This record gives sequence, structure tokens and C-alpha cells, in this order.
Amino acid sequence: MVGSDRGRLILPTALLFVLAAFAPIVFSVFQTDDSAAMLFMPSAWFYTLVLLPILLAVVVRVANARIERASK
Amino acid sequence: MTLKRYSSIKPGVSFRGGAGLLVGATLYLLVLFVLEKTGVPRQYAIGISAAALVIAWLLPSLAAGTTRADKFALADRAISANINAMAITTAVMLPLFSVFGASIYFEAPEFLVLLAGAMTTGVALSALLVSRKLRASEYADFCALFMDRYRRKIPATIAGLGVAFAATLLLIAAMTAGATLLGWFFALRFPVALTLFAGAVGFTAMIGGLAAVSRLAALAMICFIVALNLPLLLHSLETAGLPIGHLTFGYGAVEPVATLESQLRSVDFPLLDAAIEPASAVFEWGPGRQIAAALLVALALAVLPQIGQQYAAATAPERASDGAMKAILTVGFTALSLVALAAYTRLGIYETLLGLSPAEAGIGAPFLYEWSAREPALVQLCGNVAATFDQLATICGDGGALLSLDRLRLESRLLLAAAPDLSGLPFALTGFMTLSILLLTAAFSAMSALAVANHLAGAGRALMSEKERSGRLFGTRLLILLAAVLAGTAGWLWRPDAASLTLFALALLAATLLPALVSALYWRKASAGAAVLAMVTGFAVTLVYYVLGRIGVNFKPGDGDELSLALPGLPEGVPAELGALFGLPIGIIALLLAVALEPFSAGKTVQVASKHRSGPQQKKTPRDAQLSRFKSWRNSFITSKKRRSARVE
Repeated sequence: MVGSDRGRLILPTALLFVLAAFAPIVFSVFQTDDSAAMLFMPSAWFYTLVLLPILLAVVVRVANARIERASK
Repeated sequence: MTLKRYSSIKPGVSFRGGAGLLVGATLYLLVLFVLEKTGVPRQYAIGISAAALVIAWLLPSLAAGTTRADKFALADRAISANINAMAITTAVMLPLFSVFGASIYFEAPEFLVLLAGAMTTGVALSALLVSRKLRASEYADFCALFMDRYRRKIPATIAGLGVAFAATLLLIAAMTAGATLLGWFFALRFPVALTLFAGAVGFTAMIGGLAAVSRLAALAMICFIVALNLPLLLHSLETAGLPIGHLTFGYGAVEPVATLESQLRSVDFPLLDAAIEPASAVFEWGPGRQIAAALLVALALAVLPQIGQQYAAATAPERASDGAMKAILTVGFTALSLVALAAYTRLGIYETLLGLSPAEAGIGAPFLYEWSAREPALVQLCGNVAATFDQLATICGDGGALLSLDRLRLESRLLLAAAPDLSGLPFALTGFMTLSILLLTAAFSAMSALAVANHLAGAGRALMSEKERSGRLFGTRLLILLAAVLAGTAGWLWRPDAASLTLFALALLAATLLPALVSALYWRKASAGAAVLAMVTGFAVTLVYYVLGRIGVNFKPGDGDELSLALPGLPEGVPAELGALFGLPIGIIALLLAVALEPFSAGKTVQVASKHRSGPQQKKTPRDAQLSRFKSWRNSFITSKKRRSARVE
């Protein structure tokens, strides 16, 4: 049970962190200036609330498919 | 082999009561709407809500009642992926989102959006790293998984104690938040509400175990999604002319509120922020702390025991990850709905209250006096609670003046439940929203109580025969009762800040379990000693930092000697709740060091072990005896399952 899927999971997990880190970085960069924050907020919200779940679900789906294929 | 064995089982926990739920919810909404429109006092509607709440809680709890150990601990491994997804979403929402969602939006909207991102990321991590592996191991919880991986009881026991401690904190936070809401809506005193809530939680978890808890969680989550989306639809139709609030809330609510607030600011008018008492100091954190909290929430959700239980009960490993994938989308949709509704509610409150005089408030804003005689009070005017419409004019001593936002106090813990009422929508929607949040909190609490009991009993149970295990079911039920009573008593005496406690419990889980669990699943070199060391150091550092950050070195709170260490990006210091920022890296370092030093410290043991494997006539050690009992339990579990399937056929 140990190690067999490790290689197949490294890439999706790393991708997941990159995707998830994008929103906090947007917030931390643009929160210093109120007007900039207001301008950028809707797109950051759209990314975090709409795109991120869809992207993450796709990443999980693809990773599962890889594991399925490998186990057959 | 595993897939073959379980894929033939017909899902036993699927949502068969869907039509009943739809009819019941529609009937409830219609009756409350008619009562309100015909002028029947609100107490009658609240009475009907109480009956609806009892039915919605009792039916799934009783339907899943069982005396069998397999159904109690694993729901017969027959939970469908859809129910799994709903139950996982319930676990992920925590009291943070399901109770405090709107107050976080009102006080720090960017934190709510960050938390939404953290929640979806956490479920995705859990889906990738834990779901398949835990289900494929065929064990009910992380303790048994540690037992299987290391063939020793110590890591399982340490993991069980750590998880039980963190899950108890989550239980206390959820029960306190749920009882506060219950007490407010049904006008009960806090101790009475807490006792009722603890009783309900204990009953559900005790009578039906995982099957009952999963059914209740799925029902609660469906109700919550509907309760969020009905008012959102009405707001969106009214404001933007389109029934999809998720698309319209940007230009329909966020932008108008931003414009309005900038105009109010320019003429020195108080904003809505002045009317809202912060629900927790956590919501006033700066961006650095918010990002750190979001990161820890994501990591903790990857190893949340309540989610692990759902994976263990899936019909097959691929169905476990399928359920998790669906949960990502459900969490995302629910978070989006909540943010959109909170944005429309903020606009609605401004539209209702700005320029309103007390004389108009009777029709325009009945919530100002209709929630009197409740603890906590939803609205206070000039520090007092108005009980009737007439009192509104005199309560501030200047009857003719307009209602100013800085004279108003809104209870932020109740903002989400009261969101429809505050923005002028029918009371039926407020009732439905409150019921759904109460069900959701009760389901999460029951999940936590079950996690406490299962993980405390799990390490020992993994070594037992089937007969012994069934005998110990009574003990597990008692542990659930004990956890509910303990959490209720702690909530009553302590009255904790539920949001802060939730964050601390999650941070503690991440620091204790994450390195040990991931290494157990994916790192062949990891040993039992290394796992124990990682768990103990992660737990101890996080707990000690919390204690020192809360009450300081001399154990006297508030005298200025509380510990607050700075980190790059956190110049204001790491708050006590986020001690895992130190605990987690230290745990990982301890794990790596222990693995690196293992060959030097245990060289002899390795030689003995390899010699033992090659020589069958070796004398049995206590560890081997333990292992053989463990294997016999596993075999008996599988045999009993086969026998049952044969009997059904």
C-alpha cells in the first residue's frame, strides 16, 4: 500500500498548490492599496469562488484516471 | 480483489427520501408564508419550525439505528458517492462557514473568499492523498490505518488521542455555535439550548453511528443549499432581473454597496460596520494572518477525521475519490452561494435602514422589535432591545430622528440565519435558513462525537476479534455520550469563541496528523518511532504555543506577557490559534531526523526482524502475537461480510 501511487500524485498535488496559492497572492499584493483592491477584487473572487473549485475537481479527476489506468 | 468484493453491494445509504424532503420543505415554506401574510403572530410559525426541526432530525437518525458493529462504524461500506459528497461538504463547512459565513463577509470579505479557496483546496488534497488509500486499507479510521501500516499499537494510540482531543475541541465549538442559534430562534436560555443540542447530537451518533450521521449530514446540506439559494434567487430577480444570483451579485450587490459606502464616507455618515459587533477577534486579523489561517485550514481538511470516516464507508476506493471530487464542486457552489447571499444581504440592510424613521420602521424593518426577549439579541437600539413598535420611537430619547447605523447593534453570530429577515424577505425563508443551519451544526457535531469515540476505541478495536468488537460497541456508544456531555459542559462553563476554537482545533490536527499520515501512506522508509515523534512534537509545540499565546508565561491572561512570535510576512506576530505554523515544520523535521537516524539506533532490531522472517521456528514475541490477533480480526471481518451477503442471496 505504500509508495505505489506516490509518483502519480506528485504532479497533481503540486499543481493544486500552485492553483490555490494564486488567490492569496492576489489578495496579499493588492490589499496594500484600497482602490487597487477594489478594482482587482471581483476577478480574484471570481477565480477563487468559481474557477478554483472547477480546476481542482478537474485535477482530482485526471489524477484518479491516471491511477485507474495504472492499476489495470 | 477489494473492488470485486464491495462493488456488488447495493448502496444502502442513498437518498431515498428525496421526494419526502421536497414535499416537506415546500409545505413548511408555504404554511409559514400563509401564516405571515394572514397576520398570525410569529410565535406560531416558530412553533411549527420546532416541529419541523424535530422531524427532520429524528427521521434520518431513527432510520439508520442499528445494533450491528459494521453498520455502526462503517455504514456497511455502502454509502453512495452523492451522500458521501454531501456529508464531506457538511464536514468541510465547519461552524466557520455554516454559522459565521455572513459575519465573516460583513467584517472581512476577503477572509471569507480565502477560506472558500482553502476549503476547496483542502478537499482536493484529501481526495488526492487520503481518499483511495484509506478506503483501500479497509479500515474505519486513521488509527486502524496506522496499526496496519506499522503493525504496532503505539502510533495508532497516539494518533487516536491527538484526533480525539482536536475533534473534541471542534465538537465544543460546533455545539456552542449551534446552541446559541437554537436559544435565539426558539427563545430558550443558553444552558437549556445547549442541553437539548447535546442530547440531539449524542442521540444521533449513538443510535445509528456513521449511517445516521451521514444521512443527517446529507439532509442538512441539501436544506442549507436550498435555504441559501431561495433568498438569493429572489434578491437577484428583484435587483438584476435575472434569477441567477451567483452571476449577478458582483454588479447587483458588491458594486452598488461599494459606491454607496464611498458616498456615505464622503458625508461622514456611519457605515454598516459601525453597527456590527465582531463575532470573533479572528475576523479582525490582517492579510498575513488570514493567509496563514487559510493555509492551515486547507492542510487540516486534508486529514480531517470526519472526512476520513466518509471515505472509509464508501462502496469502493474509486467511489471514495469520486465522492471527494463531487464534494469539491459542492463546497465551491455552496461557498459561492453564501458569498452572493451575504453581498445581497448587506445591500438589503442598507436599503431597509438608510433614511428610515422610527415611525416607518413598523412596516419597513419589523426585525427591529420582533426578536425581543431573546438571548443573544439580534438587534439593539442605543444599547436597548425594543419589544414593541411603540418602543422604537422612545428607545433613544429623540423620537423624530432617523435611525442612524451607529445607534444600531447587530449580533453578528446570527447574521446568516437572520439574513432573509434583515433584507426584507418573508419570515419563512428565515425559518428555513435557521433550521438548515441547526441541522448542519448538529450533523457536524455528531460527526465529531463519532470521530472522538471511534478514534479512542479504534486502536484497541483493531486488535480484537469480531465478537469482542461487537461487545465493545456499547463502550463506543458510551464514549459518544461522554464526548457530548463533556463538550456541552465545557461550552456552558467556558463559553468559548467558536471561530477561534475551530481554527485552533484545525491547526492542531494539521500539526499532529499530516506529516505522520502522509508518510505512513507514501513513504516506505517511515517507521513507527518516526511517526510517533512527528505526532508528539507537532501536537506539543502547537498546544504549548496556544497556551503561552493565550495566558502567557505566568498563566495570567491579559497581563501582556502572552507569547507572539513574528515570522516573515507576519510582523504582527503569529496568533495563539496558529501555533501549527511552528508545530507542523517541527513535526516534519522530527520525522525526517528520526527516519535518518533509524539505521544507527535500530540496526540490531532490523537484523533480528529479518532473521525472524526467514526462520519459521522462531519463538513468538508479544508483537507477533499482537499481529496474529490483528490478522484474525481482519479475516473474521471479511468472512462475516461474505456470510451476510450469502444470507441475503
